[in-house]
Amino acid sequence: MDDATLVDNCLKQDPPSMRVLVERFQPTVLGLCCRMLHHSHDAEDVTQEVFVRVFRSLASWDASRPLRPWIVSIAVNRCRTWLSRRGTRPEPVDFLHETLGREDSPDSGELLHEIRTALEAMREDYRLVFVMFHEQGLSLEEVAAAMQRPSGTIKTWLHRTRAELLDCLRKRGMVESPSLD
Amino acid sequence: MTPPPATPDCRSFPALLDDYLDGDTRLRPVLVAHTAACASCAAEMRLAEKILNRVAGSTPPAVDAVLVERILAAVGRDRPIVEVSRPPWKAFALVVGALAACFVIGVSIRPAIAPARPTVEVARFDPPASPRVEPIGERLSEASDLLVQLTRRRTSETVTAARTMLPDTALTLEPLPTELPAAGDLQTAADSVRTVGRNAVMCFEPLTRSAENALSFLRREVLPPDAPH
Repeated sequence: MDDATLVDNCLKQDPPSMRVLVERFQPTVLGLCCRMLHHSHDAEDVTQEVFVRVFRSLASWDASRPLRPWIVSIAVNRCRTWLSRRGTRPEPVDFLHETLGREDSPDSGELLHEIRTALEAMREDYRLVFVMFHEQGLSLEEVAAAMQRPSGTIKTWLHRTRAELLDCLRKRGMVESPSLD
Repeated sequence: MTPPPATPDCRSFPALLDDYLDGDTRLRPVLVAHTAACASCAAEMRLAEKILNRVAGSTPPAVDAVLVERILAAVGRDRPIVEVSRPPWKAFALVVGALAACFVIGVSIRPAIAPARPTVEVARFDPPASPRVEPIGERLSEASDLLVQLTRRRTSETVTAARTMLPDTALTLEPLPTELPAAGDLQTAADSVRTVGRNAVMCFEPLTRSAENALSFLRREVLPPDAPH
């Protein structure tokens, strides 16, 4: 079922379609919330809040645009609001261990932990675009739509984030420094 | 998009690598061709790929069934209340029913309120020919017929019993007409019905039920047992 049909059915209060919509986008929204909030319970609360708002304003969705960036933009805004309400930025917590995916090698988990610690220290916008693009696989256009910024800006932010990330990992001895020859 | 140089140098390599990491996979053969001869750029490319491969797909988590149920429950609670609008014909039917019921009540309790008279001359109410007023007219005719029979029999107990079936709200209405309209005096009839109906809207449902009860009671009391109901 394509997004437009799905939304139409949801607007008619069709319960199976509403379930399909939640199941289709919950991993993306929850993943983003987890990475932004670093707390699984907070992330679940915000994910719930995001979907309540999605269904509340579904009638205002422009069917000529893709649905996922629209939902992600709501998630981004809710995460920002939540973070500003919480006021402090906590240390990366247990969630990181809960969501460690592929343990390719003994140092793989440690590298991922270092990557996320490094991202933590970066600007919120940089972190967001990095998570959406590299972790969640959204396209540049989708990230741009979700962030409501031009694609060129998103590209610039991604380049800076990668450069800062590499620099940080080098300083922490996680990766080799460039050879001088 | 301009085609990449066939053999990039170390100066243009970082920009091309960035474009590749932005998703332009067509650049990979070009980059690989350069890294075959440049260890430094090869290390940069391996490192970038290693880091991004490590984070790719580390989230999102799979669908959480418990969370899905929780979300759907929250959405259900939040669902805006849809106001059910009553079709215009239903509103019209309600008003017409209220008017008819109230007039029946009025003519039913009138003898109990008005002083008893030894002889009663009650004019028949002839309904107008208009189809819109016809249902009201039929009810009014029936009520006036019953009233004629009732007053002739002077069955005050019957009227009193019928009156006890009415809710208190019926007794707070504006004074009901003490005389039935004369034949052909449609304006008087219309004014009476309008006055009663305006008040009856507030207590329509109990009045309707009570009117039906009262009417049934009157039918049983007044009409002969074999008369069609």
